[in-house]
Amino acid sequence: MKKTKYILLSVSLLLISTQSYSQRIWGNPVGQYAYNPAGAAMNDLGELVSCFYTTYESAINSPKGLMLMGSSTFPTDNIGAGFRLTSESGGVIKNLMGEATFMYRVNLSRDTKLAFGLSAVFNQIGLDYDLLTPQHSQDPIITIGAETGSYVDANFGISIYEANHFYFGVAGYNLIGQQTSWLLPNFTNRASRLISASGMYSLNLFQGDGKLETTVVGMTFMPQDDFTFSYDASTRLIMNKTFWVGGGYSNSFVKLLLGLYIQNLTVGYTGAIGMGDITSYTYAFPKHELFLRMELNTSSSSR
Amino acid sequence: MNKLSYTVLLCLSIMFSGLSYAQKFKTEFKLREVAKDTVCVNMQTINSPYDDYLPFLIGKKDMLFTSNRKNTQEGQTLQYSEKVYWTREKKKNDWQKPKKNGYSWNSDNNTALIGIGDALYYFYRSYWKDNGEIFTAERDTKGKEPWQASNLKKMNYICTKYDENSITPSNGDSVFFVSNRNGNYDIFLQVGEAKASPVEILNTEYNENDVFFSFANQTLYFSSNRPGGIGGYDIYRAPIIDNTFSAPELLRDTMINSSSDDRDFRWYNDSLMYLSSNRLMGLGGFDIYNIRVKSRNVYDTIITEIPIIVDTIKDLKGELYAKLKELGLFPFRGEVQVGAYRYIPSLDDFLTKFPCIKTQNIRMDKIIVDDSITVHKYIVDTLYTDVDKAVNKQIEIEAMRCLPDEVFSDMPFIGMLDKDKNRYAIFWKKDEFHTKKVFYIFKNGKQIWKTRLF
Repeated sequence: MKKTKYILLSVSLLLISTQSYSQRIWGNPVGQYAYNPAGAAMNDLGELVSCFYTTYESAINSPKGLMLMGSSTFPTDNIGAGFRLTSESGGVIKNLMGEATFMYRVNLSRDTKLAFGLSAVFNQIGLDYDLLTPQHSQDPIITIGAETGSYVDANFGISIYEANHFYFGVAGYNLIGQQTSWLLPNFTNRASRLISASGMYSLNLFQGDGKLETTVVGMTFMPQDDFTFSYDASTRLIMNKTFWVGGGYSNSFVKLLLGLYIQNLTVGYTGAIGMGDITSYTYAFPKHELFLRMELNTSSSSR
Repeated sequence: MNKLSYTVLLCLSIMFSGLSYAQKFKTEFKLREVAKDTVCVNMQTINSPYDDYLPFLIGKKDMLFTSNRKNTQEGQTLQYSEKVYWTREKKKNDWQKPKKNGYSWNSDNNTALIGIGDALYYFYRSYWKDNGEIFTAERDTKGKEPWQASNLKKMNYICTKYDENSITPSNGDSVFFVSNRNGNYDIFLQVGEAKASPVEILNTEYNENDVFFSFANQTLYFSSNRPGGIGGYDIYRAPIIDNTFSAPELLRDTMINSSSDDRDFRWYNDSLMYLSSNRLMGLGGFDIYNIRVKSRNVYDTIITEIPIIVDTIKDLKGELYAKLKELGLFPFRGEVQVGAYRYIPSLDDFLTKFPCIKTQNIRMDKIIVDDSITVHKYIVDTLYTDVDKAVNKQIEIEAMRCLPDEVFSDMPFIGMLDKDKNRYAIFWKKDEFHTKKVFYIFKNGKQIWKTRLF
């Protein structure tokens, strides 16, 4: 009983302290909104993005997740809205996150905009009881479901950008730092604040027939004694607005990016292999991510 | 000696009296306009293989237009969305490569510049299908570039859940705009922020679109796909006279209206116009065309003073009279026409151009030639029942020497119709008449007979 409690406590602390399941770095070019509320509706289009990933790290504890994200401007140019849902699991831990975003932006110059995004977030954390094997039948995890719980929080971001050309922004996640104390009545814990920085620059090549797009994302938790930093850098060559190939590096993984544009649909795949010490603990080609975007063009021409 | 002197003096007097008679035939050189040619030029340096339309001149050298040309920066979904572009004339008829305007004008979605006023630009923007809305932006007339604008604002009192896609400022605080709120696209008048009303005299059950109001000639130009045109969308004009629209008329110039879609007509002056059209020979889709009217001028010799002997025509009951009778033109009904012009569209213009004719009572008739060309006929507003009187009037007008007489249609002549509606004309050739007094009779434009008056 005592042992089980400590194990579960450790798992919960790990979960809440990292929040890695609700805010992760995606391998595909999902757009800045995944890392910054100000990135919603960047090019005025309504869009729906879904992304599924799985990592074969062990036989039963392979993390996997699904994200559904959408955003659109309103008929004023300056205001947009977005939503983001993620459902993720890693072993016995499950997380469901919902985010609703309001975005406001102004023109900074002829082609550049400055956007602010504010999100309300709902997080629900639970356990997969099928994978749970407590040592004692009266363990609180079974009797009262002590490890499940939810909290609301807020995210805020700011971004400067020119649509389809570049963006750079910083965002803070879990800004309220909501108090959580689900496992033990007298135990106090807080969701960690996460700082995210993301940038993209796109270079026209071959007289407009090609584009070289480089994206960089970095995240860290604040404040935290033990500094951790997640990062990703990827570059893709987009040819004739039709397909892309690219590569990248992210926290001990080397990525390969492939994708297709089919009118208003975008289909992408990213696979990653481990580099360095991590190869001892994972499969040779462990990470896979599928990506589908649908752009909703509701605008019609004056003719 | 004295006798001789008197004789010489008498001879000289006679000689000089003869000379003074000859001096009446003095000549002078005068620049004269003899014809106008309409030229339609595809503006190839700014057009693309995609749609280029809605041209607007700002000042004399800057042009703003809208295009849905391929955009290299945007993705597949938006790469052909319409945007506003700007270009400047480097030298005559040579324009810079167009540049896309920034976010003060364009959104990433469809944006078109649809109207220009003294202080405002009018934009079309669309966020939902078939629900285009009109926005205004204040012109920054002191800005470095002509396209600078600020304070974008939606015209809430015009926009509805329907599509509003064209607007032009008019007199006072009124504007004309186009909306499909009544089913098809119609022209509406908006005065201030009051409720808009359709302009019934201009609208049909077909589409009316692309309004452009010219303050200079108080005329509204628009395009319509109504029947009776030349094909597709055609351009019509409706002048405002005494605050009331005249019935719209199709522009008959084949350089302006074609069998394809012709839209976005801009009239800046009689010799500078623009339109967009998807006519053949373009670069693809709609192209912007420059319509220029060129005058051809020549130096000509005009006899400014000649003896006119009107009273010598005392009796035409000779050959001419008999011929007219033979042709079935009796009882005689004739009118004296003093000119026919494509590009002198009003009586005021005619009298301004030929002020000497103001002493006559002239009217204007409009006719369509070859099913497409509008010709304005200027006629002495009298129906003559006496051949002598008609001929005398013809000669009287010719003697004024202020009308052009280079071509047949410009000569004063007597026009008649027989019972079968055949057109007859009695006229003369200028020099030949003065020397030989020869009259001609034409039937439906072809000479059929000639005679001398004396």
